[in-house]
Amino acid sequence: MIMGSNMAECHPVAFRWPMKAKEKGAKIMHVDPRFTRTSAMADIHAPIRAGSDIVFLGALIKYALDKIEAEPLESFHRLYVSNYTNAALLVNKDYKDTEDLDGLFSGYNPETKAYNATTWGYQRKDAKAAFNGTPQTYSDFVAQTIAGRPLEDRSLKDLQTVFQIVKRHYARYTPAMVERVCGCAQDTFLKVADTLWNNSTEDRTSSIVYAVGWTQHTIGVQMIRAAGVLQQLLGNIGRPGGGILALRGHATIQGSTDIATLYHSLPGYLNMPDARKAHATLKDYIVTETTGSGATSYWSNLPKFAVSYFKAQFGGAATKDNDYGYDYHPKITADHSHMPMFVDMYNGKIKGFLVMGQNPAVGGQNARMQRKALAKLDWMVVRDSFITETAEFWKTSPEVQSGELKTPDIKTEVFFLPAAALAEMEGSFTNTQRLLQWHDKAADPPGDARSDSWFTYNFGKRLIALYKGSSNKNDWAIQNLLFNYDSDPDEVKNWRIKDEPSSFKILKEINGYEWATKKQLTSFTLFKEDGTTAGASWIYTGVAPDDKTNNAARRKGDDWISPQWGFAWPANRHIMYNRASARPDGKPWSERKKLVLWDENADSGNKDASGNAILGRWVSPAGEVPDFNATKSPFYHGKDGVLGWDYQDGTAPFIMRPDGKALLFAPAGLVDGPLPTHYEPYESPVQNPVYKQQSSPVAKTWLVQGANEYHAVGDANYPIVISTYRLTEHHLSGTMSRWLPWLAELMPELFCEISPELAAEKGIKNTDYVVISTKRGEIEARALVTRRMRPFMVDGKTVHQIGLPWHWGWQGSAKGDVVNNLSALVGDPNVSIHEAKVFTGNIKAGRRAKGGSG
Amino acid sequence: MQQPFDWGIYIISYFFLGGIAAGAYFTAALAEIFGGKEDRELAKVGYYIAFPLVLVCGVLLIVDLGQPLRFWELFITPNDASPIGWSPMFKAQSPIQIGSYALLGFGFFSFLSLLDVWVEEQRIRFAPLQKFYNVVPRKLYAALGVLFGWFLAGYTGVLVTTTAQPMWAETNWIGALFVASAASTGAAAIALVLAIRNRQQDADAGLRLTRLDNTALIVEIAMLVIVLATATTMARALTSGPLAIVFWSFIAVGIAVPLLLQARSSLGGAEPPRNLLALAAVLVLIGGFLVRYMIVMVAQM
Amino acid sequence: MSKGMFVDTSICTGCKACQVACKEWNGLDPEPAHFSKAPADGGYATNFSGNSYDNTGKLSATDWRHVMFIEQFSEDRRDGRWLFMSDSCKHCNQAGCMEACPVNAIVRTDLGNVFVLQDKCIGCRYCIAACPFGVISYSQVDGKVHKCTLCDDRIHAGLATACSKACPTGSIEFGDVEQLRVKANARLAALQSAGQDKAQLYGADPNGDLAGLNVFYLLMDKPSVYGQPEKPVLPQKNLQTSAALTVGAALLTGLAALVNFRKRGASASAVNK
Ligand SMILES: Nc1nc2c(c(=O)[nH]1)N[C@H]1C(S)=C(S)[C@@H](COP(=O)(O)OP(=O)(O)OC[C@H]3O[C@@H](n4cnc5c(=O)[nH]c(N)nc54)[C@H](O)[C@@H]3O)O[C@H]1N2
Ligand SMILES: Nc1nc2c(c(=O)[nH]1)N[C@H]1C(S)=C(S)[C@@H](COP(=O)(O)OP(=O)(O)OC[C@H]3O[C@@H](n4cnc5c(=O)[nH]c(N)nc54)[C@H](O)[C@@H]3O)O[C@H]1N2
Ligand code: SF4
Ligand code: SF4
Ligand code: SF4
Ligand code: SF4
Ligand code: SF4
Ligand SMILES: [Mo]
Repeated sequence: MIMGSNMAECHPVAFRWPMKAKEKGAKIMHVDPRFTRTSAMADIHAPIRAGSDIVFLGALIKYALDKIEAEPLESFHRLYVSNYTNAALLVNKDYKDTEDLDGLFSGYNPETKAYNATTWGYQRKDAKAAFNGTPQTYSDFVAQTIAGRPLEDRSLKDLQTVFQIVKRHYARYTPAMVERVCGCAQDTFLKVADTLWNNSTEDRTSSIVYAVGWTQHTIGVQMIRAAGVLQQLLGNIGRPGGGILALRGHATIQGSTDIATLYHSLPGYLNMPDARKAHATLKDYIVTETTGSGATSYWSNLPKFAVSYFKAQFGGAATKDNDYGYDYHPKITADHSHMPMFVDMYNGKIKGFLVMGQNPAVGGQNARMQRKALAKLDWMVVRDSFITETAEFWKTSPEVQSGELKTPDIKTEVFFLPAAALAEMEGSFTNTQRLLQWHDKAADPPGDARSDSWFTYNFGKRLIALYKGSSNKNDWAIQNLLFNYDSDPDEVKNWRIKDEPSSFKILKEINGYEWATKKQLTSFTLFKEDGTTAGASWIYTGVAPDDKTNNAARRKGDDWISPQWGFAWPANRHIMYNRASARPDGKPWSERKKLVLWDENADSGNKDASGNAILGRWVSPAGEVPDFNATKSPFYHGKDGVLGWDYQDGTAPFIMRPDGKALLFAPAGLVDGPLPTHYEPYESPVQNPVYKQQSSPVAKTWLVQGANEYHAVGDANYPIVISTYRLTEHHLSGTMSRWLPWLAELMPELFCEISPELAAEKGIKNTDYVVISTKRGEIEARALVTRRMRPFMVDGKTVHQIGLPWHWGWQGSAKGDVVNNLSALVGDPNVSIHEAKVFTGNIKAGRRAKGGSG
Repeated sequence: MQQPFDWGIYIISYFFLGGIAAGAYFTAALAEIFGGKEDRELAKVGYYIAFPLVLVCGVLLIVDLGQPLRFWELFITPNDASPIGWSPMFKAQSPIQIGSYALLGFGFFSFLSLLDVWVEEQRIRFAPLQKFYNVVPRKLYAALGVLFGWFLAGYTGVLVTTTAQPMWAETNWIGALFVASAASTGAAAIALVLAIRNRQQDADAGLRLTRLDNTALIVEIAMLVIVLATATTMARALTSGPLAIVFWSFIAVGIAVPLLLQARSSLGGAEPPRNLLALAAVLVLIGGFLVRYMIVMVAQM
Repeated sequence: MSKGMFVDTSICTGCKACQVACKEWNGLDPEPAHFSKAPADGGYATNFSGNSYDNTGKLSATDWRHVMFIEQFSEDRRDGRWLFMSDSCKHCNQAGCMEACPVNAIVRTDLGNVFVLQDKCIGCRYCIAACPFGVISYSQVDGKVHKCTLCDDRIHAGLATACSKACPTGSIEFGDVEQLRVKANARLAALQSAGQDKAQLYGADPNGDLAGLNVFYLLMDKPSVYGQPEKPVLPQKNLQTSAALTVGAALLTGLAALVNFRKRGASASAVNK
């Protein structure tokens, strides 16, 4: 089921595999407001109103719950759900659901617009501390945080069980509600539900594929959570052909979250030290980060990963006494993500801006405001291969043409540094399946164009030189930074550019090594918390196991798991939580879907007290790396008062979760609730048909007078739902496609997809010019009138939707208005991603006033 | 979904002038072979018309080519195997290829006939030529010229029907139509020249020309009817499409009026006044152009 | 052994990678008609067509491959299809273009592909009129005709065609025509048994129209829905009849004229006497 994604257009090469599956008889379903090129290939297309996904998914969840309740105790789904998910755990008695508070969970504080999650926890036995001496190591402190085991009712009957709470939460999410709120016919919904259910058994699995069609909402994370809940109930997680595939965006965007270009995380998904949390010392940081979820999951190893990270940063200077340099490491003080950063920039709080591989003048939401914000900077460095809209905002932007900004008044000094293109640098891509694949340098970049790794390395070396003599204590970090990646002569012998850093040396540091011997580590199980090991990102350990081997460069495939193709993190494991591909007793669910299983005769590699081999080991005929303690028997009972996965049973596949169980109900970790709940998009033409609470109570908003104003619910001036998305022919803000005439002529002009019904209502004919407007701006586009768009009936009211591919800008060989002049800065509370997938506006025939927002 | 092949004014004029040249030469040859001495004058006019038009046709064909300087490829083709490095080009199933030989052949014989006129009228005094024309009978090269003439007039129609253009490919009769049109326009051309020269002894020739022209026009109508009957799509396009104005003016101007004007001479024997004859001739010529225009353009709208 | 391509439109996503790969491998210019002026001098694209996602419109001297988009939707959207077809030269076994060319500038190689010898073409454009599928196209820029060559240089170096290499879903498959026909028939059977009753092969039958096409298709609807001729025939089939009728007409006209000329001739001479 492809939902919240237009895979055929946005992942056209990867779409090869669904097509191969279709040739072998697999059913493909596409749930999308529009009929796209993916829908054209799908067996079923279910049209839903943009933003109503959680109603559709909630109804699928209810459909599955009803089926499971009717099944015998030993059925596949009951075995999977009661053993592998937290269905049986009992939730805190004073938890209140959205059914009780008409759209809110217990613990909501209207003033701070935030939840306190204590009421969402489990009912627990009393805690058995794992350590009662005086704590010596960081792990000793972690051991003191182990909570009591949750109470549970395996029969799933107790009303406080997660199972019953989830059942009550989605009781009203019926096929009728899907028709009422999503505007999708009941029989179409039921066809999708039947297909998914019938294809999720012992010997058949179904997968769900999504991308930003889900993420770009104020309830985006909860949409994804809903798919997680559904796949647990269908028994698809951890099994071959199952799971949820998050189709990532840019090439190696997965790499950019693994090795952390995000402001709030360190490499390997450790949280960035935060001045607002109890992160004063390294010990405080480690204890805070492991309390609640860490101590009784694999995250109990966090101390080893954190210390090794600081050791890799500061090398010899990082010692036990100075907390491995923790105090000198930067801490964040607020939400510094893209949108709030631009609000600060707009308010003149930011002096300098490094734009490397981004084109916010077109890709940024409320692009008019973002372009005006650029004018408030003192300096901006743009590294790119083309003179993008961002690089020339001061000279050619619509604001300059309309006179809103006058070039002489713009004080921003812009430095344009030409960037090398993909094949002019070496490095790795980490794709959407966590697979690292090395790519070699094929040619030197022309002239003084340089790669970003060259720029960052040489820029860093110059900054280090600047601070060399400083006696200021604050400069300790940059003075002691381990920063030597000079290439060996043979690495650059056939290139003109000799001062390119060695990407392999950087990869080796990411992989991690023993500090004293500088010997590369082969597995993250070897990390220590005593400073004797160093490693920038524990999840990649194993990619560079010795000085000669780069596993990311491997290229031997076997048409299935392909363990010899590249390196999948963690530990070359391709399917996470694959313990769930075996029954609780360790036998495969079926021959067809066999992946990992318990072989009781295999030598575990350990000896018993009398020296003979202990038998029993998790194996995988397909060459997959089991995602489990290799020698923990399926019948092992978790011990109390012990750290990490020894606390978890042999039937607990989800080793990164505190109880080894998948979370149907999420007691912690998400700021907007333990269960996905339908809220309307922040700008919606209709009242929330499901609850009194209109939109996400904890959404992030930035009201900036005259620049980022929102539309009221059902605002008559902006009755049309607008969605923005991509086309196969163009790439994001267009720099890498609109400059190439071969691609420009495939999709020459900005167009708006509009249904014949709305077109007739507005007197718009196919190919006419139309003007689309919101409070943030006004653009013009050509009209593409097509029945692939349709009006939706919501609660008896017609809601019209128009669609805008947003690739165009005023530069390049295909020009057009910037669609993001229309969108607003509003974000999801968990990851503050924008809601450009659905907002409201208006449309009329005609041309934009010359000198308008453009 | 068809691609544009841009056969425009050059090609239309080539079809039209080629037709006149062939028709005029045929009429001249008729007079030469079956007429008496008094018909020599009429023949000479035909010969004066034919060869120059053939030259013009050659130029039109070359100028219309995308690669004008490579027109020789129509006749010879480089061939490493042959001792002299090239060999003659001959491709029976390509009307354009064969048609270019028609043009060449007809050009040769029409030139021969014109040369004969020049020699006769002392415009050229060159002994060997004198001797040649005394030996080789005029009727022989006139007869051969006629064959190539008809070939030139007809192949352009065959060329059109052997395409994948839906309208043209429905019928096999366009060649026949073009041949008839060639005859009528050829005769008309001579009649026009005679009318303009206004010599006394041309009266009888004028009469016979008019009857010849009427016959040709009648055959032309017959051929047109058959073409429209066999090419129903084209018929619809011609009679009701943007070309309807051209079609109906062809019928009226190109055929009906001339026939009326010249009808009395066929029936009653009396000769219509000279300027009426000239008018009829001009109309027939216009008709000849219109029929080539509409046929060529109907498949390219 | 003829090489060719089997294009299975049932797994074509309309991504146009084939179109771009063809332009890239053959170094073809952006289509001049698509731009305000040459992109190199600051021209920008102006060819928004409003015809679904197809802004190319047709094959041309610079577009040797053209992906077309056909939207079939009921008003209530209960049944909807969006058909795509990546169209190019069929390399017909009986090629109208080749037969028509007066200078033999269009040749068929040992591998069965039909392509234009650029140094022989005289630009008469007769081949364009003779192609049943509207493929071969004239370039105003160089006065010659152009079309897909089945990547003549690649296939003679043992490589597959550029478009088949670029096609992400394997919708375009290059190979020996015999083997591709077996695969196409199997694929058709699978689709028809899965209820796709409108699926049909186009050009796969060696005894069918034009003795089969070396680039043939599995279509999801009638050929005319894709703008292709239902019954493509070799234009030269008209040649004999057309020539015969023309000769006949010449004789008829000649005799009629002769009779007319002589009869009056006798009386006229009497008058003169
Ligand atoms: N050709 C091409 N490929 C690309 C890119 C590109 O620019 N061009 N960009 C890359 C990047 S950076 C990314 S992040 C990915 C994005 O990949 P996708 O997420 O697939 O891309 P989009 O087209 O933005 O959105 C997908 C679909 O979501 C639908 N949609 C809109 N609102 C909703 C909704 O509320 N619910 C549901 N279920 N669907 C909705 C849209 O109609 C659209 O068809 O693509 C990557 N791949
Ligand atoms: N309305 C709306 N807005 C959106 C989205 C949406 O769906 N709707 N999608 C959002 C998403 S998912 C994304 S990813 C963003 C993308 O938005 P942006 O990242 O702003 O857009 P891109 O065009 O990818 O910009 C990348 C730039 O990097 C340059 N580049 C390429 N290679 C290199 C290199 O090696 N080094 C350097 N220094 N530069 C290089 C390219 O030329 C290009 O100019 O847009 C977001 N904006
Ligand atoms: S653009 Fe790049 S990432 Fe996207 S399909 Fe093509 S090759 Fe793959
Ligand atoms: S499709 Fe047209 S151009 Fe291609 S070989 Fe056949 S007749 Fe020639
Ligand atoms: S245009 Fe060129 S290839 Fe086509 S028929 Fe004329 S000479 Fe032959
Ligand atoms: S075979 Fe080669 S020339 Fe023909 S369409 Fe494909 S890429 Fe272009
Ligand atoms: S590359 Fe393949 S899938 Fe894409 S349009 Fe061409 S034939 Fe279709
Ligand atoms: Mo993205």
